[in-house]
Amino acid sequence: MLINDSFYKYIVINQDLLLLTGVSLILAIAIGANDETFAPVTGAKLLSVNKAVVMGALIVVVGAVTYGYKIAKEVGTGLTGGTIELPQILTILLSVAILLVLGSWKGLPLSTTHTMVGSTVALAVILGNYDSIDIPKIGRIVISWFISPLLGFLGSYGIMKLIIRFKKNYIKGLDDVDRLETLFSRGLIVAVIITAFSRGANDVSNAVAPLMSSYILLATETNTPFIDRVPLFLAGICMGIGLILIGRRVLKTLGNDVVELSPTTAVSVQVSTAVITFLAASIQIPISGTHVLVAAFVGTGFASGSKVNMNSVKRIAISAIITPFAAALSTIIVWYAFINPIYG
Amino acid sequence: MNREDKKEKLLELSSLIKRTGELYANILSSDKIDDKIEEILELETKGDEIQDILDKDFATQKNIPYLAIDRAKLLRRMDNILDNFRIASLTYKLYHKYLPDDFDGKISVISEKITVMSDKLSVAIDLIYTDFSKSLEVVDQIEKIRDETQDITFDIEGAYFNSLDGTTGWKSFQAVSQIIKKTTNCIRSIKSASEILTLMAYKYS
Repeated sequence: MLINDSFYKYIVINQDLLLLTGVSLILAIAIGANDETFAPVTGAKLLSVNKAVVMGALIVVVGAVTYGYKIAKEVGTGLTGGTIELPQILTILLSVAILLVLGSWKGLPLSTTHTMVGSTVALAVILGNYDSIDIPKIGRIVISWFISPLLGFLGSYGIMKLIIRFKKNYIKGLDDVDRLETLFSRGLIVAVIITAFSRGANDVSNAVAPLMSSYILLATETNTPFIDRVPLFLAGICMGIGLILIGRRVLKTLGNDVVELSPTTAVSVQVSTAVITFLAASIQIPISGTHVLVAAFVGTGFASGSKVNMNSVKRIAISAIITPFAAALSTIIVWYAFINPIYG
Repeated sequence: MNREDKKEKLLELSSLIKRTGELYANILSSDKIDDKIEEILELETKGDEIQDILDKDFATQKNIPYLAIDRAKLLRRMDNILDNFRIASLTYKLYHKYLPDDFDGKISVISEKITVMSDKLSVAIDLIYTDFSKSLEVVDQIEKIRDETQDITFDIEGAYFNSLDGTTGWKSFQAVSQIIKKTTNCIRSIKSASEILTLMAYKYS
């Protein structure tokens, strides 16, 4: 028997765990809905949005269950050392989920980290825990508002200019264009698959980290070792569902509205985002991957001489700035309308 | 269909244009027109078949839309040339018995230029695959020839308008006018296809 009797007893006793799991899965849907990884591929029309979201959903599930386990375990077991309580966790998860879903519904790519921090700070203010407000972290977010677009723009502009120089030397006729674009499009799809896989592994921890220590304990106590992977699997599926149902809107905004992409320009977007995100993480510069990606679209567009839809860019930029404040508002509403009346 | 097959089909279509151009030029300066018109109609049907095959292929997910879109445009413009030659040759068949006696001599300059333009378009299409700058040079020559034909056709039509009798010569003028109009459409469509080559050369190089 895979699941023994003590497992059922544990689940019945732990209604809080079930509730937290449910809310975490809602957040997973929201995170999946705001996943813009495939935007360069759909923008270059190498895959239709339908195919991209289905493919992305499958990769996210695999990433979540495999590499996601280690990341979520590390993040999750670290979290339980703090003093954060269930109502507070529920408030943060729900308010972040609501904002991400709303943003995705409007086709706006939002930073999950900025949303989380906005929500955490608002909750600290509501509860009067001013000491717990991480001022340096807020400072890093403010800095990242400026650094992320700047690095994304400059990096992609530079990379696109290098690609253009290479093309000028290499391309003589249409035969060369065909060879190069085919090569670039294959490379781009491979790069996006790797990104989607690693994103699935990383993002799943945002949703299930608060649950991990409980599920690890449950697995040990009930002698059902696979149980601690269940939330990851479910969250992976939920992220996939979010991507399929709502994520297409974000892909359309980024892939189709901001700038017209070819396989070459899409490679510039993808490579510059990957390089900048990696370098920034290595030297600990606070950046938002989402904002770097958006700026990379713009930088690539300018460098390649394509028309950039500045209205879409402005819309995304404004949403990036108001994200933490909107998260704070969402937190206030969730706390006073739902959580406080129930737990207060 | 792989990349080489698609290229071959497009080049086959361009060779049809070249042959059709030659035939139409012959029609304009010859009495035996029926066989040539028949051949133009056959070539046009063959061109439609090639267009269908390529269109179906361009619409599949196997193609990178970024690369397929301009080729699909070029394909349309090339097919348009064949359509225009078909219409022009049928128009000639309908009106040629009313043409003034000296029309053959006057239009011969245009027929030569049509042959050259069709040939150059075929060369430019062939070159676009291997050398953008050389293809652009040929496209420039097409444009120059088109400009020359514009002046010549205008002069021919104007001359007949002024010389033919208003009462007895209206059928002849109508014939001249219709044939010049349809011939100009052929020339314009060759130029229009060559414009896509220019766009492709600038876009991809």
